Amino acid sequence: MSVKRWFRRPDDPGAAWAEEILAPLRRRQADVDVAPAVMRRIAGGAIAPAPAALSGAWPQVAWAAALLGGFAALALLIATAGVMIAGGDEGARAAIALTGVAARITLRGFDHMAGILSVFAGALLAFVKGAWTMVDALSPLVRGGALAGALAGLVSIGISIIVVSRARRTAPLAHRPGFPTNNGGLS
Amino acid sequence: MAAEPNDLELVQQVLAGRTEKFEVLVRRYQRLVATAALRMGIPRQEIEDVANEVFYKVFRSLHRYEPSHALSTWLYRITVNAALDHRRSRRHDAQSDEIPESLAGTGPSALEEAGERERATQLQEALGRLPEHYRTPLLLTHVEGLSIEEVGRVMNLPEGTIKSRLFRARAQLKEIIRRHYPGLAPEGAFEGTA
Repeated sequence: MSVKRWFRRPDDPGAAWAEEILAPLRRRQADVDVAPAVMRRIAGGAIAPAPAALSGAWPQVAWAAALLGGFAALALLIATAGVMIAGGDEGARAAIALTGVAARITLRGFDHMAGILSVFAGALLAFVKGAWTMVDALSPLVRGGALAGALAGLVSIGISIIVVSRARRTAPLAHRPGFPTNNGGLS
Repeated sequence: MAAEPNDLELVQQVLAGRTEKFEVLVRRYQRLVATAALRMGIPRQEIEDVANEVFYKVFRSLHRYEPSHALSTWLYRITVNAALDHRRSRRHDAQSDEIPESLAGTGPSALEEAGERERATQLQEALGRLPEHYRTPLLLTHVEGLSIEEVGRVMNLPEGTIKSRLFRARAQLKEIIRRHYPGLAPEGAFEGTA
């Protein structure tokens, strides 16, 4: 895409302007021969570019090896724990007892939380019941109000019909010769 | 006659240990690097140092070159960074840009050349007033002739950002020239502007 075809903002003088103004800079050239110096520097520094990145297969192999290593470590851990439990090891017994205590404490905590939730739910239910009772008791009043509103609406429509029909009967004729039109001229 | 190896082949050969092949790459691109550095405001007498540094960096990080993009784009990126580092470290102002070359000649071409150099110096001064993040895309686009996509790759920025910086850079440059260097403006450039 040509740079001259870009969208141009009002304060942007445009690509053509920039190219014209920067032309002297575009004509500037620099010619140097740094090849011998660069090669001397490379040779003097005795550096080599880092080897190319690993080929695509290597990362997959690394992943598989890491996964296998992880599973092997887990199996070793489980086997060791099994041997310790089976052999009646003191540390293993302590660990099992500790796990049991932790589980009991956790369950008790859940029990307390369930109690609190049930109290909250009971209060909410009572509130909803009270609200429903009020609505039930007030329903005749609400029905009466709605009926009165509907009747008032009907009366209003009737009055409007009467007023409009009378107004039409008494209204002057439009477009009668010599009568002013909407735009100020004469019909 | 054997065909010249392309950039990618040369890069692969260098990475494979044939360091001497790097010289071919240097010879191929030293003019581009030196010219870009000059246009970025590096004084002529320091161009060699900057170009040397650029190619040394290129050699050291050749393994990071992505063949999907042109080598020249990558070189521009390294050159821009090297030029900016150089400017920051030396704190050059635009006036130190050029040591006037011999003006002994009195013919019209020598005078024209001197005028051209003067304009270029003033232009560098005007550009020096632009913030760095506006100056670089402006130079890469309108002086080096890179596309928006290439400038984005050189500066590692999205194309939208480059476009918006270009708009602002041009507007600011116009204002700088109007206020400080009216002689640089093309005829009728400020007609209708306050």
